[in-house]
Amino acid sequence: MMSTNGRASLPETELDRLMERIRVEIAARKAPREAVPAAVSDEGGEGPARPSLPRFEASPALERKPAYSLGDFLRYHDEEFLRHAYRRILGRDPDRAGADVYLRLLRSGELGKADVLMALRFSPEGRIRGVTVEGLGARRMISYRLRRLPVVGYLIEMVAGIVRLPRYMQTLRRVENFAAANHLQVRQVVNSLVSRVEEELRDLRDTTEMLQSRTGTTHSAIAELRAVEQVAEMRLRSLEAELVACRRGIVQLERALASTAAGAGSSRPAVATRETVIAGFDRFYADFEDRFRGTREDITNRQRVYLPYLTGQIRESSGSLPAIDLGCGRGEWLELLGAQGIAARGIDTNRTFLDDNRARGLDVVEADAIEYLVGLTEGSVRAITGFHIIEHLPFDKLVSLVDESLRVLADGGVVIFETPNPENLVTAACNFHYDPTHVRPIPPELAAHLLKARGFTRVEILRLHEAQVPESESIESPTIRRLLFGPQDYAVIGFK
Amino acid sequence: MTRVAVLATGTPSGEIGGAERFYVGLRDALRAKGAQAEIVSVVSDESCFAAIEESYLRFYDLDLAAYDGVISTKAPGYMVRHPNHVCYLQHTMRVFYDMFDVEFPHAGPELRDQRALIQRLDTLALQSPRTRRRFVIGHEVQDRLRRFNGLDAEVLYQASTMSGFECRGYEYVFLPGRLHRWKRPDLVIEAMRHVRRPVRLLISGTGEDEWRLRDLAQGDDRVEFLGRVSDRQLLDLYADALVVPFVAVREDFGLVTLEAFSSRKPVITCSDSGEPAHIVRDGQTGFVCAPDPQEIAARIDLLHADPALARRMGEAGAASISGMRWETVASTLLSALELPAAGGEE
Repeated sequence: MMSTNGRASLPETELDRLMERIRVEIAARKAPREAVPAAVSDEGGEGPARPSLPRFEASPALERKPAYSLGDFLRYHDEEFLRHAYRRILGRDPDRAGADVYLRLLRSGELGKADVLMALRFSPEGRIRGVTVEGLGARRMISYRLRRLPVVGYLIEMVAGIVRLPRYMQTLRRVENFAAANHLQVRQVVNSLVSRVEEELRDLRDTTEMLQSRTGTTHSAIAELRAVEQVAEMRLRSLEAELVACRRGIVQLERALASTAAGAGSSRPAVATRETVIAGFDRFYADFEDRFRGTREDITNRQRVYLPYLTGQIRESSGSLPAIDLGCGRGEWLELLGAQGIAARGIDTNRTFLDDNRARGLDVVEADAIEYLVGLTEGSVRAITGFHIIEHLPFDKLVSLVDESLRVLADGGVVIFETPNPENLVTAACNFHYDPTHVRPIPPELAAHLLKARGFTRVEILRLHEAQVPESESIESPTIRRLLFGPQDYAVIGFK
Repeated sequence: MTRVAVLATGTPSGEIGGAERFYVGLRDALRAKGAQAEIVSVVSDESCFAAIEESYLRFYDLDLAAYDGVISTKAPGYMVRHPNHVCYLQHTMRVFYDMFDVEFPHAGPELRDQRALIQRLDTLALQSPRTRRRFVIGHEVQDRLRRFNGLDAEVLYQASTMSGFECRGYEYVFLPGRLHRWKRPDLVIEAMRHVRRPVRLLISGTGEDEWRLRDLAQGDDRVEFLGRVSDRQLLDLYADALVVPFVAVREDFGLVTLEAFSSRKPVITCSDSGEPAHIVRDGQTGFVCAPDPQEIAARIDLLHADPALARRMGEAGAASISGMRWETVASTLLSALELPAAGGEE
């Protein structure tokens, strides 16, 4: 059997401190009245969580009754006395001026409380109410009046004082005992306040400790998270490394595969054939476009700007002729035209793009742009477009492209070539060179001149795609703004 | 003879539920091991925080010096001060743990302080020197104790205290248990909308969400509410059931799984259902699926189309719980208390 000291033998922990605090709280909730000394009143109704703090009890109010005795009022002192006297004799609270005067006279001893009652009772206001106060009879009235007489009044008061000395002494004792009782009350209230404050301080200390321990926990949790983050980052890095290794592996495999296919008998180490290099490059370029050119939605939205050039002018004359898109890439423009009901064919050499476009149901042909145009009959095409192709051509090829375009277009047909705009220095100096197959930037005026010189009419330059000025920049000069953040692309447009 | 107290927390209303059967099962198993075991039931009122604090204090002040060992089971029983105390935890007050954010989505600082206090008290009480060893009724409680209180515990599976389970036919979907949002009966009622085959859903039990659920089932005459049923009726309902869905949210243990398996019925539970998802082996003794009515419906359809599959799964379920025995529970707890256990295997 366990002895009853089993519980006591358990070492004290934080648990016991917390439980003792809960015990005190519960006790306080259950018996808020008992927790406060008897000399203290509980006006009630404050917070249910904590008993209200002890406070001084006001003397019980003087009840209204048909007649008062002098003693009813004399129990009270100072302001309290004055308030009760006013309320019961004049039926109102003291006015500020009256209270000031009477309190000064009372405190200086010039007037006794009976004198004040007298003055109130026999004031014009008091007479009208006519409240009965026993002991404020004619005799007191006479003595009150006599004492107001010069010299004689003093003597009278002295004689009366000597006669009343025993009664004064009794009064003195009463006042002394009253003061002592008051003092005792004050002491009780102060003591209970002090213990409450001490208790609250203890609680506060406990709470602080608890908070400190919680802060500690939070800190360690944060540290843990940091560690997790580091691990994650390390894993990410190793995954990236693996990805690179995978890419290299694929290239190697392709080369090995090609060499097996090329010459089953040859024992030479695998050397890439043109075919496999092209296949590898095509995928690289498709991937490159995905990364740098923008999403399909972006491109589609950007290309909408050209639709009016096709829909507005040619419909009536050569509505059934197809549009040719040279270097159709991912086919956004072909789709856009299809949606407008315009027959469109894409020309490209990149097989990855071609396969994707065919899968999407678009009409595409694998061919070199210029060679393809050479094969077409004169006046058989309503529009020729080339988005970001002319910068891939040496100048002589560019001239043939323009010439062939003019030849195959129907009258009124349009040619549109979009290309990076070297007027923007960032484009010219940097972005242009992202694409390793770019030959050289073509300034807009050169492109316009070329079209005009080879026979196109109504040639225009459409500058597009201004760069976003970072919000943190405050570049005032319009020239510098234009050079750095101006249109990044332009289109040269001409009609046959 | 060694005296062991099984410390039970009674509800103020004296309601009898799964927890009460648990105490009886534990006591009887301890007695079978030769200990003089008694259930000491003390009321724990959780109606408001003030009442909860009082309940904590009541157990803290409890004098069980007359016993050689104390086994506490539930919050706040483990507040008891006894030098030979182990806890076989059913649960702490979940509303201050995993259900806090669910029940108080906009909790202010006061509620948060209350939660911190309860968690702190539990953490302190459940560790040495207050508690010699900790056992829990399942992995869900184990995880929670680890996550919120930083304490490890051993899982000790209980057994069902009911007996007389039978298996007759495989006819309807049977959903027993309290009709409370934590048990998610609405998932099964909604699943019935997607069930194509002509199978009924019988729902037994009552609870605070009953009327909402009846509204939800309105218009589907395959769904039937049976209200409170007797133990005898419950056994009969299990006996003819095709499948027993048990889809509660993070259930601590769930006797329903054991009862269904004892009746050789497969159990459909959800991946977030807690312990049932540990006990049910997906595709072998039932199904563990996403908490999605359509997923549940597909599995009901499957079992209804193939009662032989339901039977195979139910039988595999019965075999899988053969190791969950009260006798094991009793001998483990007695040895944790370092008290003698009489009698070997029964």
